[in-house]
Amino acid sequence: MRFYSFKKTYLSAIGLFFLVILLHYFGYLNYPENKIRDLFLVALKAVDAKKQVTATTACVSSSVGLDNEILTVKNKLLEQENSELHVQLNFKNQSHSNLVTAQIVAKNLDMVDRVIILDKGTNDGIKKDQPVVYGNGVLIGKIIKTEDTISFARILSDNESKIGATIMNSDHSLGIVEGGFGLSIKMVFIPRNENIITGDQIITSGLEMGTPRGLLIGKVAAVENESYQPFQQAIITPEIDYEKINLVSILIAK
Amino acid sequence: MKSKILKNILIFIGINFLIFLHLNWRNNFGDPIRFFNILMAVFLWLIIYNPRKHYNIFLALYSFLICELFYNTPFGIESFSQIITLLFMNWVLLNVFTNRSTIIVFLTGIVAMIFYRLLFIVLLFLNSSFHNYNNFDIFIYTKIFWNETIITTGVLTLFYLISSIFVKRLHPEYVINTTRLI
Repeated sequence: MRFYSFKKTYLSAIGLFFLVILLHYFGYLNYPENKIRDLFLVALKAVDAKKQVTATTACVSSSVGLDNEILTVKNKLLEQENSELHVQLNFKNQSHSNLVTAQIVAKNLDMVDRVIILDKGTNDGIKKDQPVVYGNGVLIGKIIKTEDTISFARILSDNESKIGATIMNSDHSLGIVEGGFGLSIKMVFIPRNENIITGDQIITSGLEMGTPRGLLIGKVAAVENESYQPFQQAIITPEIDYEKINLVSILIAK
Repeated sequence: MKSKILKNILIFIGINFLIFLHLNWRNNFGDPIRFFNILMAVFLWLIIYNPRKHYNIFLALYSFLICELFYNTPFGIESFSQIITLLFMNWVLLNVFTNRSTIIVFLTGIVAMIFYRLLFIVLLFLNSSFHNYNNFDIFIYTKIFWNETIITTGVLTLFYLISSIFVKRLHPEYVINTTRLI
């Protein structure tokens, strides 16, 4: 039996692939990669902005004229952005860290992780492990990878996300907040003898390098305390919906 | 010559639009819909129609590498599994699945997606064993990849069924053959 095979094509495709990978890891492709990334991100941002306008248009009453409607939409978006920036400015004044405001340009593109792409990178002083916050100090996640003009942040609901936290109860219980398959957040390793009540607030413990104490994570929704397990755990309701945010801040330690 | 250049420019614009569509799709849609892998579906469709056209393989290589720039997984793992899958499927379509019935198209999609994701998981597992990247959870991967396989294969088969009507009606080879018969 004779098999059709295009050895030349197969070998040249694999060879070309490995050449690109080598050049990438040696850093020779940094410049074109950044330019390509910027081009696509500009387009993604434009689509996102258009989507926002369309969504807001649907909310505005149809009784007014089209020009008025568009102006009202733009006004609403500006108001929304203004209030978000206002809250972040208040937080900046109270905080002991420098804040870099960034826009979320894309979410969960590789399907495997719950990761957001921010439009600020190493050129703006962003480094790995810096905390990402929303509004008046609500923790969203942490920076995990940086490029010149963009950075990747892992959000709290990702199953690989782990952050030291404290419950605002009488025992000041310590534990680790981790994500559950992008669907939930829970706090684990809480000693069994400590008293936790539904509704208790959970904040960062400040025991990690670069993450200050007091960033809000969420509230206790349920407590699981089984007699056969050495620790108890708390299911957390996040303070905000991570899928619906657009502007965040990255905390840079002074 | 002029038309060849124009054709290449159009292909380049088209392929970049496809990459943009793929990224935008994953960025804007919710969980069941965003599992549809546009790039894999389009390139599988292209090699099903014409497995002898090598141009498709290089176009696929370009688009997979560009998309990799936006992923958090270590650079090269996703695109390597994708390109090896396409080369493997190209060989399979030339030598094993030589028929082009709906069942074969469906089977091509299933085999390709399973092969692609198995290779991806193996490479990710190997990488997590050697490096500090330990985001490896077989439960979540199986769930995601099974959904992706079903949705992508379903859409690919449907798209093939619809497109085959037009390809058979508009392709010069088919038109000429029909005229001769008449």
